Amino acid sequence: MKHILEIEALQARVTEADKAILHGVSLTLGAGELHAIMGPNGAGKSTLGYTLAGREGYEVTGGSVKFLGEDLLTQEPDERARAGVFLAFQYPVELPGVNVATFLRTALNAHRTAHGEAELDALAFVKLCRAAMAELHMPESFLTRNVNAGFSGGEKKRFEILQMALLQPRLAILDETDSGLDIDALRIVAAGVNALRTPSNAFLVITHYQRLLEYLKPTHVHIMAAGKIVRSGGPELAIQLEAEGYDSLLGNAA
Amino acid sequence: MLVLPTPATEAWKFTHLKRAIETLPDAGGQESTLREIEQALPIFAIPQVVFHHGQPVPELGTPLPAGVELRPLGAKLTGSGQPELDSLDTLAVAHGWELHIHRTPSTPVVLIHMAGTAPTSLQLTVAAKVSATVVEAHHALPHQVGWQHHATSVQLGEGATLKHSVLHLLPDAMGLIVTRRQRQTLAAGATYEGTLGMAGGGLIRSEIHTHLSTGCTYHLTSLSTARAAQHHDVTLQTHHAGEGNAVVIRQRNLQLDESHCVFQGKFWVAAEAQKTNAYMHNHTLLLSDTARASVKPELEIYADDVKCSHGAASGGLNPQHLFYLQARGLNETQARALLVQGYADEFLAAFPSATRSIWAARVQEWLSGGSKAPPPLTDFSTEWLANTKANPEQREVLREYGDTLERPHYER
Repeated sequence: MKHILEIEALQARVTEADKAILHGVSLTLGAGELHAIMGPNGAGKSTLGYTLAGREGYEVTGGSVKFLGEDLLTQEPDERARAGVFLAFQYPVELPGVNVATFLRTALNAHRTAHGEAELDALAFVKLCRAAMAELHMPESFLTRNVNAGFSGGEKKRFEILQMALLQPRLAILDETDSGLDIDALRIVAAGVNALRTPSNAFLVITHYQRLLEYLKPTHVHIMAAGKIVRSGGPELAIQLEAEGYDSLLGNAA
Repeated sequence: MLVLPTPATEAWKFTHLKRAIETLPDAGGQESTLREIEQALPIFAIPQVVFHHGQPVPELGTPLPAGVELRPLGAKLTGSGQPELDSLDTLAVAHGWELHIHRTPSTPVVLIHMAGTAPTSLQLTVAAKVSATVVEAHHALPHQVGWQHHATSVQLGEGATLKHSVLHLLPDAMGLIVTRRQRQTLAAGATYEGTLGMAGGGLIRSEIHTHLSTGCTYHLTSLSTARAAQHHDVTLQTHHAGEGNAVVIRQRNLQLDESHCVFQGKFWVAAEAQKTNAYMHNHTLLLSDTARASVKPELEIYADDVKCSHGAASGGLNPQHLFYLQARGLNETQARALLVQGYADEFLAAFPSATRSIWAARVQEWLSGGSKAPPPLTDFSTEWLANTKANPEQREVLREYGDTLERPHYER
C-alpha cells in the first residue's frame, strides 16, 4: 500500500520559546488509515501538527517528512495545503470582516487552480457548499457571517470540518477537534469526519479523549510523551489509557 | 498675504500645509476645463450637482428632488457662529452656495466636486424633522494639480437626520492637495450619520468641527487608504454643549510605503453637558516598515457625569491570521488581500451601499500598488437602483430621472 505520510525521526523546536519539543518522532500513515495521537499536555502533539502544516516559528532541527513520496518540509504552508495537507485548528482564529463564502471560495479555487481545474463560479460554489453544510447541520446563514467571528466553540469546529469537506485533503490533521464540543456536536463532527474517509486518504487525529475515537474507530493509536511516540497499538490502547491513565501506562517511560 | 498653517500650530502638529503648497509642482496651465470634465463624467441617473471651482455646472447636473434647493449663499458662510481657526477661514470665495433641504427628499442627493484651485464655500441646511442623504464625492481629472480648500457648513434643525458621506476618490497624484473644513451645528435631537473616505491625492486634510446641543447623535465612520508618500489627515473637534449627546467616532487607516496618516480627535465637554456618552477609536494597519501614523486624542471635560473614552491601535497583519489562510491554500498575496479587504469591509458596511463596491475596488487597487490608469469617475446610480429594494416609489423616481435629460437651472 502506498504511504500518505512518512515521518522519520522528526525533531523540532519552537523558536519563540527557544525550546526543543519534538525529539525524534517516527510515524507512517498508509492510505485509508486513521491514526490517533494521545498524550499528556506538553507532550508535543500540537507541535507535531503545526510542524507538519509548516507554521512559522516551528523549526525542524532533524529528521524528514515525506508526503505522497515528496519532501514536505521544503514546501511553504500554502503549497502543503494545495498539495493536500489539511490542519483542522484547535483554536480557529477569527478573521474580522472576512466573509465565510468569499473565504471558502478563494480557498477552494486556489486548490482547483493548483490542480489544473477551472475555478468555480459563484453559483456552482454555493451549490457545492450548501450540500456540504447540510451534512454538518449548518444553516445557510453561515455563508453570510465573517470567518469564525462570534462563532460558538461548536460552530468553529464544525466550520473546520466543512472546510475539510470542501478541500478533500489526502492528509487531514485534526488538532483536538473534540475539545469544547458537547455530545451532539461531537457526534456531528465525527460523522463529518467519517463521511470523508476514503481508501485513498489518511487522518491524524490528536485528542485527549477516548470518546471521539469511539465514533472514529482509529486503525492505529499512539501515545506521545516528552516529544516522542512511546507506545503504539490498536484501538484497545486508547481504551486501556482511558481506564488506567497516563501515569500507570507511562510509568516506565517517565 | 495668506499665512499658511505649519506644525507650529497645535492643530496642524502633524501636517505641514505650508511646505506642501510651497513645494507643489507648477500646474503649468493644467487646470481642468469644463469640456474635459464633461467628457469624463457620466450623466448620473440620480439627483446630482457637479461643482467646478466651487460653482455648480448646470450642464452636468440633474434636477434636484422636491424639497431640495440649491441657492446662492454669498461670499461668507453664515450662521456658523464659530470663531476663525486660522487663515484658511479668511480665504476669499467668489460665490458660496447653499443646499437647502426643507422637506424629506425621495432620493439621495449627490454632490460632485471636481478639483480645481478656487476655494469653495457650501452650506448644507436640513430643516427640523427632515431626513436626507447627501453624498459628496471629491474627484479630480488625472492631470489636475494644485491646492483647493473647501469650507463647508452643515446646519441640522431640531430632530433632523443627515446621512452624509464625504468621499475623496482622487487619483494617485502627489500634486493634489485638498483641505476641507466642515463646521456643523446640530440642534436638539438631531442626528448626523457621517462616513468619510480618503483615497489618493498627495495631501488630504479633512476637518470636522461639530457643535452638539442636547440629545444629539453623532456617528462618524472613516476609512483611509494611503500609499507612496501620501498624507491623509483627519482632524475632529467635537463641542458638547448640552446634555445627553451620544458620539461614536471610528477611524481606520490602511497604509503602504512611506504614507503618513494623522488622526486628531478632541472632545470638549461643557459643564452643562451631563450624560454625555462619547467614544473615539483609531485603528491603523501598517503594511510597510516606513509607513507612519500620528494619533492624538484629546479630552477636555468640565461636566462630572459623563462617559468619554478613546482608543488606538496600530500594527501589521496578524501572523496567525495569515497562517490560517495559508494553511487553507491561499498564497501570501491572496491571504494579505483577503485580510486587508476584510479590514476595510468591516468599516465599509457603514458606508452608503452605492459606494461600497467602489471602495472595495479602490482598496484592492491600492493594495496592488495603485492604479496607472486614472480612477473611473463613478456612476453611483446603477448601484443605487440595484440596492433600492425597499422603496418601489423611490425606484420609480430614480428611473424617471434617468430618462429626464432636462438640465436644471441654478439661480445666481
